[in-house]
Formats: sequence, structure tokens, C-alpha cells
Amino acid sequence: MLKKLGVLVTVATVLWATGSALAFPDKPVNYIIPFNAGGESDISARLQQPYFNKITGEDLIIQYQAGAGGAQAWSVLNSQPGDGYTIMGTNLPHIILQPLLQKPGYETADLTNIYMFHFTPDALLVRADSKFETVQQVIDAAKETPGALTVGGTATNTANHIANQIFSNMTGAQMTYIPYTGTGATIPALLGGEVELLWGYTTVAAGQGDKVRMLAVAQDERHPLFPDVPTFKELGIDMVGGAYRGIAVPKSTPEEVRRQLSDIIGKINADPEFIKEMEQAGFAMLNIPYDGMEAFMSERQKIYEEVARQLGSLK
Amino acid sequence: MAFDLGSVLAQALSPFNLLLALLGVVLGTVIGALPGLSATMAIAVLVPFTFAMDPASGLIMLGAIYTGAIYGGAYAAILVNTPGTPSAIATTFDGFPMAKRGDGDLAMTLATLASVVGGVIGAIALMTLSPLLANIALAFQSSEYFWLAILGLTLIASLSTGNVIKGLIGGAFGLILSMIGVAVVGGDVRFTFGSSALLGGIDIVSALIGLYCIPVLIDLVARPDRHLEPAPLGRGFRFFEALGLCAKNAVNLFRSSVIGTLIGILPGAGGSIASLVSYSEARRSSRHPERFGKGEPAGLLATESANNATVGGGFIPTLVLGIPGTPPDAVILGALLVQGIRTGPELFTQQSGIVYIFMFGLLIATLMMLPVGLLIGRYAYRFIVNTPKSLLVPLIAFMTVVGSFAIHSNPHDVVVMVLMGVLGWLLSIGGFGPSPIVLGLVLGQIAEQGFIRAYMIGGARGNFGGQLLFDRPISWAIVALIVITLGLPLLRLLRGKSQNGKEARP
Amino acid sequence: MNADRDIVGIVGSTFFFFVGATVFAMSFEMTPMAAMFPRTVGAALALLAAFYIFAALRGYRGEAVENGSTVREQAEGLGRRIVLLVTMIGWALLFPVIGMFVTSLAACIILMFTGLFERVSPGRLAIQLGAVLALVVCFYHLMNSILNIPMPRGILF
Repeated sequence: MLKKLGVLVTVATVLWATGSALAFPDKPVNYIIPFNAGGESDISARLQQPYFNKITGEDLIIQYQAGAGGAQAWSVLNSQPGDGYTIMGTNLPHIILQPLLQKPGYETADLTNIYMFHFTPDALLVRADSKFETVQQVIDAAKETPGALTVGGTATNTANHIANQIFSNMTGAQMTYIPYTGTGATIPALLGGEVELLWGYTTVAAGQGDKVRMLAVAQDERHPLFPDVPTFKELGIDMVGGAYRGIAVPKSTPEEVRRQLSDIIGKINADPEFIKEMEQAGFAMLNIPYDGMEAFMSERQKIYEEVARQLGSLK
Repeated sequence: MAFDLGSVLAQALSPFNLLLALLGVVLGTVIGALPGLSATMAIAVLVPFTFAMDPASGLIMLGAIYTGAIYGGAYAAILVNTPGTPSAIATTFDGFPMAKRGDGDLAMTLATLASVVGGVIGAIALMTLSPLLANIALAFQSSEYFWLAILGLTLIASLSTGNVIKGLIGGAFGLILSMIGVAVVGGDVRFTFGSSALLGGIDIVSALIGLYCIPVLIDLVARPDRHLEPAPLGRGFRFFEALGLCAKNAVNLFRSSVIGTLIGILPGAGGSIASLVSYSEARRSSRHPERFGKGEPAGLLATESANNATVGGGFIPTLVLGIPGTPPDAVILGALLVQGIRTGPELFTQQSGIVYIFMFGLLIATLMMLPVGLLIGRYAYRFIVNTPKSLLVPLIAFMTVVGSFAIHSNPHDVVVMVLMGVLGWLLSIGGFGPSPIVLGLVLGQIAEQGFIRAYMIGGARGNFGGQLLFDRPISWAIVALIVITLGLPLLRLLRGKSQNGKEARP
Repeated sequence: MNADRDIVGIVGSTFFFFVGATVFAMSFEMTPMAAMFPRTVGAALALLAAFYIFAALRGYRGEAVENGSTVREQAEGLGRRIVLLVTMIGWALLFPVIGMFVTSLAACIILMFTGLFERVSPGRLAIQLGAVLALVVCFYHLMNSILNIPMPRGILF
């Protein structure tokens, strides 16, 4: 009797396993955003939502678990069920810098990233009526009176803070970095004249239109939405970076499901309509699938470790 | 203007949109009434549904939910002494004492009327003065936020007239609680004692639920008498009595709504400061400041009109500058972006009438709050009064646990909630009320960051004093208000002392 | 014990004095910008608390507006109060482990009896238990299915 039951269970498991392998996903997938609604992570997830449905026929349910700059959600990711129906947004440099500088309750290696799908390139912004027209003018002014120029950005030890540090390393320009609570709070600070410059992203420029001027973007090539804005590289400053966003799954998720999810996100990323919508909002596309993740992560890890050491020594 | 008013009205008033607005208000009120469930959450859940709708209809529904949820926050504040959102903190001061003594029906009707007045004034400001008022968001800089937070903190002095030192101690303790977690400036990890759960700091809403609601629960089970004094049967809404009170408080209502609208425009300040400041102003200009905190209708009117005015106010920077005024605004802004609508001043001048349809929708939803609120409010009041304690206790307790969990889907928030509750209960035995602690907790971050940013910028420019105060006229005005708020009671006290001799001991 | 003196106020102030002093001391390990507020507020809290202890020992006792309870009042129904607190603490700690539904149902039933003052007939008791069950089921469903909040299931449910 017991044996029979055992066989039955095995058969059922095998059937269920193959079944799910064939038709993953066959129910809605929960997509946890470790930040508050309305930010870049949320908007890009909202843009993905309809395409996920178009490709898989299932819904993508977006949930928010904000707290501690994302650490609250990332520290519990591995305790979620690993069946592929729970996925979580991840952000670089956050998931590398937080374990380096604090004890956030997780390690970078704990997060199983399956796809990095876009990034928001760092950008140096000024008000439209600012006297600064080029990056060189900023560098000159900053060198003349070190620390007198104020540049805003989001919080401390973040992508913006790092951008400021790298910029300063490469050009020798010293500016006072003023941290704000979030991207939302930095914009009035720039527009209202509290800070002269702002480390932001291309998304900020896309949202603010002609009220701000972008001096340069930290991308390999110019952003399609801003064909007139030079890259830092063109100006001889080797800066490529920003906030990278991807998707991770709990560690217990089987290899096969990880690949399937990676494929689905890749398909969404290849949809020309999706690309158009993302670029309209100021995002830059990025395609790092599951197989390329290790190389990408170790490359970024090296860069951030270097900067983290400097930020740490700043204390 | 490049739009046709008639067609805008016809669209906003289409039966389908009206139905959506009604549905949104009802849903928002219910969600807002449950502590821990916020407007942000309700809107975020419904955003995908609006993608299938016409953008204007979707926006009307989201706006209706938002305004309903802010109003609904008054329910828990009045009936259970628990502010479900920070914007309802000041509503507990007078709302709960009113309910306790049997005037709960009046309090609910007053809250409804005040919310409608505040909401309408906020919506009208949004429709008529948006591009102009949006500049306020830019004129307020770090130093102004600092002074504004200090203005909010001065309320501690008036909340604890009998024992100012204990009030100040509580406020300082609240400020310390607000520092827990990763510091925005400096990046230090402060007072977490190695716990990663505290990195994000103490969640304000779970602290609110704990500090206010656990002591209520403890009192509920201690004595067999009723939670609230029931109103005599057949008294109805006390609508005309409430209307009379509103007429008497017309200036108060208008002032509070304007304060609410203006503070709503400031990104990051939000409903909590708006209602605290307007409460403080109402108390200061009242002829009977001593009645505040003991069930004074004017206090309730001030806070509820102010927090609903922030809804309209908050949309001003959202739509004009693309800078969300409050978290729900951020979700709505995200929904707009996904719909392909670009925010900015152009939205008001050239684009199709969609923004105007939305604003009319918001106005209509606010007006619908009157009948909806009166009905739900009456039912909610009766329900809380008539439910036997043996059911009321598990109901409220379950809501505190589930509500504080729901904020971030995080079990640690529930532990924080209960611990804050125990702490609040113990401290209240020692004569330390929860409100100063809450004020410190809510305003601490705004004060600290505002001050330090002004300090850093002033340092970079070599002019700290100018950056903090001397070169900033708006700061002068706020500091003047602080001086008046603190100075007047002192003056009264001194005058009273010299007249009555030793009898008028503090 | 001198009834005129605010003994509980002194006890509370002593607690706050130590909190303030600790915060003040800890601020010296922080970066200058992050230390500014903790140092100021910690010092202020310690000074205020010390001042209050001093004043209370000399017989000062004010009356806070927002203060409904005294030690004597709190002694009433102390057993029930403690049951409630213990239930709430247990609930908060156990629900991630055991599961939201089971712990909530158990806690709500305990609290129902805690809030029960008069004798009730078995029929009424059954109705009340049913109401508690309905309450937990309804809210659980609202959170889990409608608002998409992932309720912890734990080892039971």
C-alpha cells in the first residue's frame, strides 16, 4: 500500500515537474520591487508588465517591499519559495555596496540574478539657465575654488555618490556632495537653486524636459533620446556607469526555471515597442542574460570595491 | 485656454466616470479606515486595471481612492484613537475624546464636512493656480524644511501644557527614535545595535499603530465598561449642528485648508505636518485654547480640512513639475508615465483636456465624500459602539498586526509595533504621553536633514547663517510663527500669574 | 513612599537619562555630519531628564493634558492586561514561523475570551467564535488575495 502510494507520488511529481517545465509560467508571477512605488524600478517594472502578459499569457503582479534602500527585501529573498513564481528586482550598485559598507543582512553572492535588463546612466545636470554649458567649465570652476560648488544626489554611498567620487578622481574637480532622500527630492533642489549641479540619471532629464540641461552622460554611446548630449568618454573622462536594474530569484529556484525566466525577460527586452517606451522614459537598454551574469557582476564588483575603499577612507 | 470646458465637463461627468469616482471614494474610505493600509497601497494595486481603461477614467478612479483614503484615516483616529496614517495624528487629539464622551456621531459628521471643505479648496487651487503655486515647491529649500519641522515640534509645548518638561523629554526621545537606521547624510548606520531589521529605521506607521492603539486595547480589556459612550437613539447625523459648528469655524476651516494646500505642495512634507501646523494655528487663534485636546470640535475641523487639502496641493508639483508631492502622487505619476502622458506646465496649456477631466473628477469625488462619508461614518460609529468588547478586542488587535505587517510585508514591523505599544503604555503610566514621541519621530528626519544640508551648503558657500536663516525670507516668516506660538502662551501665563497671584500655578 | 512625589515620573526620567547619555556617547563614533543631531538631542534629553528628576525630588509635579492613567488605575484588571500583552508579543513573534492564519485565529480567540466580561450562553459563545473565525478569514482573504500582500504561511498555514 505504502509502496503504491510512493509510486503514485513519484509519478505525480514527475508529471507535475515536466508539466511545469513545459508550460512555465502557468499562474501569475509575483514581482517584488524592493523600493517604493513611483521610482525607476517601479516604472520599468510597470512597463514590463503588459509584455510579460503578451509573451506568457500570465500576469505579472507587482508588489512593493521598500525599506533600508532595498536591503529589507533582498535579505529575505532566499526564504521565498523557489518555484519561479517569486522574482525580485535588484539594483546595482546597491547590492554590491551595501554588503561592503554595512551589514544589511545579505551578501552579494546570496542574490541569484537572472537578467540585467536596463540601466539609467549617470548624468551631470544643471538648470536650464545655469552659466555652465560644458563639463569643462564645471571642472575649471571646481578647481578654482575646491568644494565651493554644490552637487546634489540621492543619499550616501549610492550610484550618485559614486559617480561624484569617480568624476572627482578622474578630473581632479572637488565639489561638495549634498545627499537627498531620493531622486524626487533632488529635482526641486536643482530647479530651486539650492545646488548648482545634480548627479542624476537620463530619466531625470527625460522627465524634466527643457527645464534642465544635461552636460554629459556616462554611457558608451549617446542616448537616443538626447543625441546632442556628449558622453563622458567623448570628453576624455572614462566614466560609464549608473544604476543597473535586474531581476533575481530565490536560491532554491531550479536551474531550468532560472533559464526560462531569463529567456522571457530577454524576449521582453527584444520587443521594439518595449525598447521604444523605455528609451522615451530615459532608460538605456542592457542585455545581460543568466549566462553572462557572473562575468558582469565580477566586473562591476571590482569597480565598486575600488570606489568603496575611497568612500570608506573619506570618513 | 486651449480646451473646451463643455466637453471636459461632459467627459468628467459621464455616468461611467461618476460611477468610478463613487466606487473609488467608497473603496478609499474603507482602506483608509483600516490602520496600516494606505492610499499608496490601494492605488498601486489598482494601477494595472486602469491601463485597460481610458486614461482619464483611470485617473479619476485613482484620485478618488486617494482622497477617500485620506478621509478614511479619520475613522480609526476618532473611533479607536489610532491614526492609520501620519496625516491623522492630530485628528486623535480631539476626535477620540469626543467619541469617548458620546459625541462620536458629531465627530464623524464634522470630519466629513471638514474633509469635503478642505478637499474642495485644495482641488480648486489645483485647477486655477497650479503653475503659479508650483513655484512654492522650488522656493522651499532645506532650511525652510528644517524650520517647518521645528514649527511642528513646537506643538509639543502646547500639547503638554501641564508638564512641559515631560513633553520635551518625550519629543527628544522621538527624535532619537527617528535617527535609527542608515543616515541619509553621512551613510552611518545609527543605533541599530547590529540588527539588519532596523537598517530601514522604525516605520512611522507601525510606531503610530503601536503607540496609540496598544494602550487603547489594554484599556479595553481592563474594564468591563463600554469602549465609547453610545449616542442616544434617533439622533441622526447631527448634520445641522455640525453645519452650525462649521459656520462658526469658517475662518478656521479656510485657514486650515489653505495651510493644507500650501504644505501639500511641498514634496516630502505631506499631510502630517499640514494637519499638525493647522491644529497648532487653530489652537493659538482660538479663544479657548485650554479646550483643545479634550474634544474641541475646532481642532478636529482644522486637522481634517488640512489633510484633505493636501490631496489637491500634492498634485500641483506632481502635474506641473513632475515631482510627486506625496507617495500616492508618486504612484499616480508612474501610472501617467506608463500611459505616455508627460507632466509639465504644458499639461495645463496645450495638451488635451485630460488633466482638466482628472481635476474635475477629483472635485466630484471630493463632493461625493459627503453622502458616502456620512453614511459609512454613521455605520462605522454604530458598529464600533455596538460590537461587544469580546469581538472588538480581537478585531482591533488583528487589524494592528495585519496592518503593520502590510506596510512593507515585513514581520519586523509587527514586532516594532508591539514593542512601541508596550513602551507607550509603560511611559503613559509615568505621565509621558505618546504624542510628543510621535511628533519627534515624524518630524525628526525632516528637521535633521534640512539642518545638515543647509549646514553643508552654507559651508561650501562660506555663508552658513545666510543659508539657514538670514538670506531666506520664507524662513523669517516660519521663525516668526515659531516665536509667536511659543511666546504667546508664555505671555498669557505671565499675565495670568501677575493677575491671579499664586492661584494660576502651571 | 511620599504620595506627593512623582515617583513613576522619576523612574521614567531615569530611563530617558540613560538613553540620552548613551546616544550622546555613541555619537562620537559617527562621521561629523551624522553625529551632529544625535549629540545635540542626546545631550538635551539627558539634561532634561536630569532636570526633571531634580525638580520631582523637590516636590514638583505637573499634570500633562494627555494623561489618562495613573498607576492605581492601571492596577485594575492587571491580569487581563498582561494576557493581552503576552498574546500580542507571542503573535508578533510567532506568525512568521507558524503562519499568519493559524496564529491569528488562535490569538483572536484568546483575545475574545480576554474581552469577555459577562457569562454568556453556549449558543452566544458559538456565535461569537463564528464571528471571530469569519473576521480572520475575511481579513486574511482581503490581504492575501485582493491586496496581493504575501501572508507568511510558516509551518502550518
